[in-house]
Amino acid sequence: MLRVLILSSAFVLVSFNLFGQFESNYEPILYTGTIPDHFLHSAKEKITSHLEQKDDILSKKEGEEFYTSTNFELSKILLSGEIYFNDKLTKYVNSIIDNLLKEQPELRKQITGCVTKFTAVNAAAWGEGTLFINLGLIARVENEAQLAYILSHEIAHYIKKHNLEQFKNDKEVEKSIFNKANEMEQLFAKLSFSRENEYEADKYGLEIYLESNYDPKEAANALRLLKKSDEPDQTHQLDLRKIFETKTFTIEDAMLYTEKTIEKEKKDQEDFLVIEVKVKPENIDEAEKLSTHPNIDKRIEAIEFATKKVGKSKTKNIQGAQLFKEIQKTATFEIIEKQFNIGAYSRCLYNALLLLEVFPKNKYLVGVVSRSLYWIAYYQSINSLRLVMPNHYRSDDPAYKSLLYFLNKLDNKQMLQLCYSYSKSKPNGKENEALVITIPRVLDMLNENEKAKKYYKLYQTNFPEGNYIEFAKYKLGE
Amino acid sequence: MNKILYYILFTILLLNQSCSGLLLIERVALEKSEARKITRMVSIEPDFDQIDIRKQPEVRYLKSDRKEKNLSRILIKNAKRSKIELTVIDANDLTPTELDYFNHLASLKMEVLQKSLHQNTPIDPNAGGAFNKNWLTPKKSYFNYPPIISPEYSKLAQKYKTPYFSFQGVYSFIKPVKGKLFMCCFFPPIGLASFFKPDITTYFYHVIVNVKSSQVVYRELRRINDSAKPDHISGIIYDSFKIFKSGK
Repeated sequence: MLRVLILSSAFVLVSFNLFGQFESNYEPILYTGTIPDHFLHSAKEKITSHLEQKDDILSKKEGEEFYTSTNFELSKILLSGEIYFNDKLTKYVNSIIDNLLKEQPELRKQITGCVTKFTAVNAAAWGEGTLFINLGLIARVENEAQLAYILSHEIAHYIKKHNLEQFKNDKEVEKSIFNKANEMEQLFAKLSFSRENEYEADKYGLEIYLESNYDPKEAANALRLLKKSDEPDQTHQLDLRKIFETKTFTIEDAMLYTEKTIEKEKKDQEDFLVIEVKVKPENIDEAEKLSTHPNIDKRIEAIEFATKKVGKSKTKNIQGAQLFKEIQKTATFEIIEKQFNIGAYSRCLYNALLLLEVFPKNKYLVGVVSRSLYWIAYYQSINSLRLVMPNHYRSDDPAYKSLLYFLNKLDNKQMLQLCYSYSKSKPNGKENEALVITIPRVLDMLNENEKAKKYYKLYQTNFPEGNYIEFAKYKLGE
Repeated sequence: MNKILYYILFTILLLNQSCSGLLLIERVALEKSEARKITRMVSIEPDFDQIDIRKQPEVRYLKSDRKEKNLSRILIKNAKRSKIELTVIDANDLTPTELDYFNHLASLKMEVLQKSLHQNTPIDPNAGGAFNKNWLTPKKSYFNYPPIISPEYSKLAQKYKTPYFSFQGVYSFIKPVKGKLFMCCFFPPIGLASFFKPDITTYFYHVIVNVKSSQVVYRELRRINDSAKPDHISGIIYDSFKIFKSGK
């Protein structure tokens, strides 16, 4: 009994600690340690070493073309600042690869897992053994096993040398006299070969996956998840009045996307001649012809059939559910950081607001909301709002739609007031670096320069080593 | 009579060839005295891309790589001639401990180029979607306001002992000219002269940002209908530094 009690207490403590690190703040991942060798090897070195290893798929000339192009592109990606190294996400992904290839140490040496800052739910295998796993994928999977299946699939692409075969096939298709006249036929021939490779990677990837201790059922679930990745989330809700209303900023009914608004929009649409464009082809086979990947339902079916009789009790998270949750949360925070850095302000604002529902006191998230509102107001002031924020019609996610509708209803002064009142209303705001620097920038835009100066001075006092210190000094004329 | 007509056509064609370049320079109202004070600048990862559609892709990569190294040298040499101490940060020459490139400089480059493109359309609100084209459309006046970037990079000014960070790139497109045979038949001297010369367009861009004020202070885009030979590029870069240094 005592043992159970101690274990339960430990679990509660660990859980508390886990969420504790995100509760009050988040520090975006910084590169530490030394730059890994494979980042620093020049493309030319890599080309030479590849050309020395003869392969039976490509001719010498084809090999030169393939390895030169892929290695220069690879170097470009690795040195773009878009790939993490020496961080916990990369370590986690590589531990999964360790688990998958426990019995194949020679193969393990050839493979490197790299996490990219890209937000799309995707992963890719590069010819020389680099697997790229997007942040978007890590944030979306439900457990370690699902990530493991996707990695097995990518490892299978590498083992089967699919990119070399694809390159050779594409060249042959382009050369073929029969196809030369018809670009569409060429495209179909290339895509068809790509789909064959996907089936093979599914089959061989599943073999690798089933050798490990990951739950077999999660392989099909991983594909189900990929299928759903483009679908909008209908479950999210945002109470905009609760989030943004303060003593100095009130939200009128007309600014909110309500049932009444939906009805009005429907009526307005009826007044126009609406031509419905059929995007989806008539049948699945027709849709498949235009895709690099085979029909996902067929793939799920095949995997379910193959894993039906594998009844061994296995786990969803070899490294533990707690660690998986921590990794997933980190990926979600990093996505917000990335969206902010690429100027996807409305999406970044939305994701930060959703995460604030879980971590309401997180200083980083509050700062992101404030900074995103500032940039939205800025782009609005220079008549370029559409570059950073879409129209609400474009979203199928109800909560995001209502946020876009609300923001689009505000004029520039209201947008600036919203940013100002939100930033001012936060308790302990003076301790939040992002808020203390955003407030005077908003005041500058409202032409309240004297008031702004007080905040720049406050920044100087509170954050003498802060990231914005030189900017604050510049604004104070120092 | 025919001879005169021929010479007129010849002159028009020559003029047309020499005047078809593009020059777009925008800068913040830097006072002469301030512009002259700029003695240090950091250039982050200069780009060189030569796309020769007549040749195999691997030739393009190898040539571009060689010329990119050369571009760094040309930049340093011309900066020196304009009394600017230029430090070029080339990602291909990083040492294992130079993490600053990944933590700040790569993202600064992305930020500057992205914000510079995004904030390129101050006048026409409907032009927002087509921002890529704006680089190629000469404007009548200098930009109404300087494009701004995030102020979080201002701290780099302390570390690199200069608030000025610059970004340069050369893009050269080479393709075979169509209708050469027609030119050879009807205008033999011009036709023959251009028979062995492909159609080349070279772009050069130069963006300078003051991280302390978080403003893009200088933007330049040039197009020349000639190859990206070191002499051509060197001339353009020399000119670019001179314009920047001369202030308003």
